[in-house]
Amino acid sequence: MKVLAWAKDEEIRAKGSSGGFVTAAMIAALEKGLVDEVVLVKKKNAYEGVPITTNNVEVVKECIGSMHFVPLNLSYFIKSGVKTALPTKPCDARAIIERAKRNQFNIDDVYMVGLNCGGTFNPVLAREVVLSFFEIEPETVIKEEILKGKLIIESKEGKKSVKIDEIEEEGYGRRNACKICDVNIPHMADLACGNWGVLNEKATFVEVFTDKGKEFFENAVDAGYVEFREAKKEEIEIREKIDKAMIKLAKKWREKLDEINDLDRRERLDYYIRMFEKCIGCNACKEVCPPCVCEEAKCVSMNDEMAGYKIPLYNLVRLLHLMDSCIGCGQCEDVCPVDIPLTLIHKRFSERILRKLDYIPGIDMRTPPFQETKILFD
Amino acid sequence: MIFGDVKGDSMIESVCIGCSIGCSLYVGDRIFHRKNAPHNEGKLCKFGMDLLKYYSREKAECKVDGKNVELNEAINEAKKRLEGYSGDEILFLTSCTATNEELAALKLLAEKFDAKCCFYGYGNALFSLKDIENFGRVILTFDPFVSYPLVARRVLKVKEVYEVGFVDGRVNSIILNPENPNFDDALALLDENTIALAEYSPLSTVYTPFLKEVVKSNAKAIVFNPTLNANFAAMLGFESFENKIDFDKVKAIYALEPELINGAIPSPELLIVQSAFSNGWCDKADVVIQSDSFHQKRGSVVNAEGRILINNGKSEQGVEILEKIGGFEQTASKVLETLNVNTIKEFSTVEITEEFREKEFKLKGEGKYYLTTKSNPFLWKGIDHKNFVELSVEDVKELGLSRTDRIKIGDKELCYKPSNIQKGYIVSEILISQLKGLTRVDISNLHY
Repeated sequence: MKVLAWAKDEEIRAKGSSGGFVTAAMIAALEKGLVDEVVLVKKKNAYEGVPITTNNVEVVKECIGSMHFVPLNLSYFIKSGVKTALPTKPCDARAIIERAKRNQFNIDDVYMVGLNCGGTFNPVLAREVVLSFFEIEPETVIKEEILKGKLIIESKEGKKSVKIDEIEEEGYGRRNACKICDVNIPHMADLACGNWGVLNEKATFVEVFTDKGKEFFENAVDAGYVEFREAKKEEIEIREKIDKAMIKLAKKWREKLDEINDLDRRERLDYYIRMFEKCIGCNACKEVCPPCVCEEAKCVSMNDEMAGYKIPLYNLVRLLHLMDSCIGCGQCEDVCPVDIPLTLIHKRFSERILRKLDYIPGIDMRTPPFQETKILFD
Repeated sequence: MIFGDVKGDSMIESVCIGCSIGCSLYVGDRIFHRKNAPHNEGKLCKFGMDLLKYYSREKAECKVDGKNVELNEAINEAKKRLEGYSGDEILFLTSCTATNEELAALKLLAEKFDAKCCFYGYGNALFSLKDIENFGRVILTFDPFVSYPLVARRVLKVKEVYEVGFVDGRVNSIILNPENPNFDDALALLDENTIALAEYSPLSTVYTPFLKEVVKSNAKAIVFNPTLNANFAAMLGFESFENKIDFDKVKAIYALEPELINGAIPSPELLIVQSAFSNGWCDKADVVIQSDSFHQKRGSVVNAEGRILINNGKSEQGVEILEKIGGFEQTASKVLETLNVNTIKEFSTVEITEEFREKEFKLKGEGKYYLTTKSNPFLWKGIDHKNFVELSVEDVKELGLSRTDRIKIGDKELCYKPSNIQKGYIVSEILISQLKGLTRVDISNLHY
């Protein structure tokens, strides 16, 4: 099912980044009792938002609009036994699936309202981009959006746009995890929403993937919060074209960012030692890692500075554990106090074996292959 | 319409109290990274990640002469007992793990008694952490991977890095002879393209002559403190107590969050302690006034960069206690006046330069090895999270130590780790004794 949908409420439709479907459908889900609460990001300013759980529709209305400068993962905020709806970028949806596999909650209780995603920006670097590429005082930004490969910044002085390619060639732009991410339409969510394929109207292109997605969509329509029409062939084709272009771009960045592709084995080992000897053992990468749910984790208990290994056992254990679980969200790299390029390192470690095993983490509820092997031996 | 809790609102925008960098973060049921903060970009060190454990320690209790009392009674008793003291007889001191507002209130209170306000630290803020990346050379007097880890990522982007005193495989090192710590090698590197990153702490005594030379040279410096808000204390004109104060002459002390102040706790005829957590100072105090822990407070701080940071808790109790005792209400205006601003704008910066204070340094002990301490927030907060010291590979061989052996330094049994450090040194992240700076000790092999 592929439709163009929009909020019936004119204010929500105008404020939403693409017709306000997501906000209207969330309100409908709360009011009709489809969910107990929603997880959203409450905006503080263009660069900062706080994850909240709420069942207050007025609060939902305050959380309207996209936030490309707020790179959060919302999966930690879902509670077991609570029917929850939340907007999910592909990495949120993949995180939710991996956490559900690890019994953090029942996936049937979660409505994943997918958001097409071309990437998010580090907020501190985003301020620099706004100042140097747009010549706008960062604090005056009212709204930002990404449209047709351009970053659009709206301030008191009006709207300005700059091609994202231009920004990224200068070493700024999206987070590295986003640059190399090739999952832009969250087809693992219950439905996917976005402005790709929408031509000249204030509407959301919605694709429904699951029965839960259908239920969520129909609830919004039946409650009178949302209107829709079938998507046209041209609109569907444009959306697919954008997706393919983003996947191609991700491949280009994957090669460009890889510092060690041309190195021999010994040099690669030296590279890993150089990267991991910086580790200060703060465990932040583990704490923010969506698939890492162990409370008394082996990797942490093995993080013994006395050991004096060139690569701490903590990092080695994590490299192995994440080979079939890393969803590439980049939260670990965001919080690493010594800037270890963890997203790319984990990707290097996992991609060859996952290709062989024909498995992608966070795409479906299949047991991760290494855990499957463990179950066989148990 | 359904109304409900907005549960995320329980997350407080806060500031880590681990050191003078003051990393911004959210404190709630868990620590949440605040990626929008320009100084730490959401990144935290091990202490920041463990901050909830620090806040879950035993709270101080309001007491008068050892007996539990209500808060108001403790405040009234403090007010009553302070009457009659003035000038040099009474001292107001703090470790600066307090908000700007609390420090301003402490200053106003001290003024009521015509008394001195003292702190531990050194005020200096002219550069941001990001500025470090723009220098061609960095000279460090601490190990950035241990002491102020948020500095490490900036240092790693600089071409030439020198560390004074320690040997570290990751950076160039300038070794000192502790018997004669002249800094000729390090001083030769000081030019306008150089920034020195130094620590001003009770354990960094040996490096202060070097820091003095840096201040006089064309090189630039950022000085970090183990206490959060030393910069605002310096702006308020607090005096340093490490060299100048003769505790024997002081009859009364009012101590605001004093637990990071190293060394023996003084025993004047009146000791009043305002503290969130139970500690040795509370045990000795005549009056203990319990206040809320830092993350619960509403207020601001000034970090090592001179950046104004906001702690967005709800409690103003710390200030109210001081205002009640002093009978004044001008704290807010004192803060604005000191910062020279009309309103407090988060992340904006102020410049601070304090006249440099050199400290006395003396080697102590007779042993064969120089014991040097690498500081970290766990150490300052009285939580030794390490149980080992580092020894050079040569010393490990000379002592005949095998992997499972333990060693003894003074009366303390410890594990050891062979490290890339200079022979004859022991590098510790544990407060082995109350001795300050480098000292001389012996090691015995316990042969387990």
